[in-house]
Amino acid sequence: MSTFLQLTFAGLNVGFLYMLVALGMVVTYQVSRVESLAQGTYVVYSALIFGSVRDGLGWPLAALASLLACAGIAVFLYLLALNRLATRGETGPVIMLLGGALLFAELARQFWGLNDRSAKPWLSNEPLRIFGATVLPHSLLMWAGAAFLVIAGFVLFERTMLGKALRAAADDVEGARIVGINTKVMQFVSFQVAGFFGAAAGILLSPIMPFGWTWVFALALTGAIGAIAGRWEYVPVALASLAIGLFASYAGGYISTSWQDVYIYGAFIVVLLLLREDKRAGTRRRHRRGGSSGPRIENGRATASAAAGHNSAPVRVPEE
Amino acid sequence: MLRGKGLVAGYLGAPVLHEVSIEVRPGEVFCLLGANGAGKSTTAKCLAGVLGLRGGQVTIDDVDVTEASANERVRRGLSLVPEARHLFGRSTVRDNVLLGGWTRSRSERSASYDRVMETFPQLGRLLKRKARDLSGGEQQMVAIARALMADPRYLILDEPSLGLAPIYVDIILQKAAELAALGVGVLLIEQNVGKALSVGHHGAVVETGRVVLSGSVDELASDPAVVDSYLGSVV
Repeated sequence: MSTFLQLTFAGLNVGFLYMLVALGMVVTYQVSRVESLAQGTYVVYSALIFGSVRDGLGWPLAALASLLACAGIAVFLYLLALNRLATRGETGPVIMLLGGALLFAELARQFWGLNDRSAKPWLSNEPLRIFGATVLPHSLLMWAGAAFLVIAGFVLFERTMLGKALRAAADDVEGARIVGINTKVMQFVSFQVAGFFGAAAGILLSPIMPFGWTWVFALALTGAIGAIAGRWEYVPVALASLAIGLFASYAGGYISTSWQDVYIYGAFIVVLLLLREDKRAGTRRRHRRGGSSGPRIENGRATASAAAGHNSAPVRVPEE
Repeated sequence: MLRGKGLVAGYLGAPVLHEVSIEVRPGEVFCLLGANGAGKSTTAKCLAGVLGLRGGQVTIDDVDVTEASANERVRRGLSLVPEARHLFGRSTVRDNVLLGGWTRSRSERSASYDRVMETFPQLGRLLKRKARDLSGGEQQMVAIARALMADPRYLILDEPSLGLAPIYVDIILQKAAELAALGVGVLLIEQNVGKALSVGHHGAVVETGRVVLSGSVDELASDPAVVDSYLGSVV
């Protein structure tokens, strides 16, 4: 029982981390239709910056520094992915974000070195005993913080006008524009929300988990697995990511940690095969990127957004 | 007045509009008529800022909005109900309607919502349904209700009767006439020429991207070319 609980606690730590990474990707995808493989960047930079300045500034200012840094990174990644050149074609923004992640990973290696680093805890380092298993106060804070963020994100998207507008911008770009929603602003907001999720994960986890430059891609990959397994929908992705974390922990604890990644990716392949079954059944949703996507044909004619983005002759397109 | 002057536009390098000019006055229904592919919807998109212009000028109440984005034009009092409706299919009817008031304050939005629901009481029972699950007529009502949430001074209805049952066509054209009576300038793009002229005040005929005829609906209805091409035995 205590072993199971111990593995559960460990699984919750990584599960909540995967959840925040995957949900950041979902937010970016749902609003901007971009699969952000740079999502791990936020977590790594947030954790490393927090750890670096925590002693000098204290944890509140260090947390603020991490949040601001991630907001800046989000601006950079937004401009990188959704500029006029990158948005020509479906894969352009994804490749740009992959390049951005490469750049940030290399910069992290230059600044903080090869080894992973963790931050000095600001809560007690004495483990708490729960039914024979132990858990650090920082883990409890991480779970509570992550759960709060997930619920806050859900409320934002489902219950507020901003959330409705964010979803609308993804649902139908032209529809959003004709009701006065600035779709570019919505896309910018989605990058900021994703950055905030990543920054929060980095701050909450840095006292209990070391991070380094190699995590940039590892997190993106695990986040993508959760996002795909949950079909890029908010609640299913949250649950799928948590399940991946728990699954990895149980597999590592009961079988072997050296094969942990194999279990995760093996399970992912199974999930993909199941999704493929759904696709054959015709239940997979059709997605398209916003005003920046390739030409779209509806009712036998190219839509305005397609024409605006792909006219061969120069056209004055009103800027948002 | 909503004015498009010398509009030139096209898709994928192919020109569609060749210096189209139209004027929609407050309180009137202006009918834009023409065959498929004549450039009616392109005109609507250019006026609403959804499609960029290669030439010409768009003004709303004498303010030049040629360079303004679609969302800025909504703020200036122009709403478009596009041919394809462009509803937010995954959102509920209520959310679709509410999002029409995105540019307005919470209190204005609330007041508009009540007014719009009075205009379209049929939507009351559909509020919790996803927009994608509605019939064509219901979707069209949602699209118009959404546009009205912005409290527009000018409303463009692009083929509102396309694919609808006759009962919905009558409801929607009647609403267009009622809106005009309240002072809204309505640009009605319609292939059902007889019905459009019955609620219109002025109009124009577009052929291959050019305005070939314009005037009052009486003048249009009595023009032999209009009768031959569009009205047939209707009038």
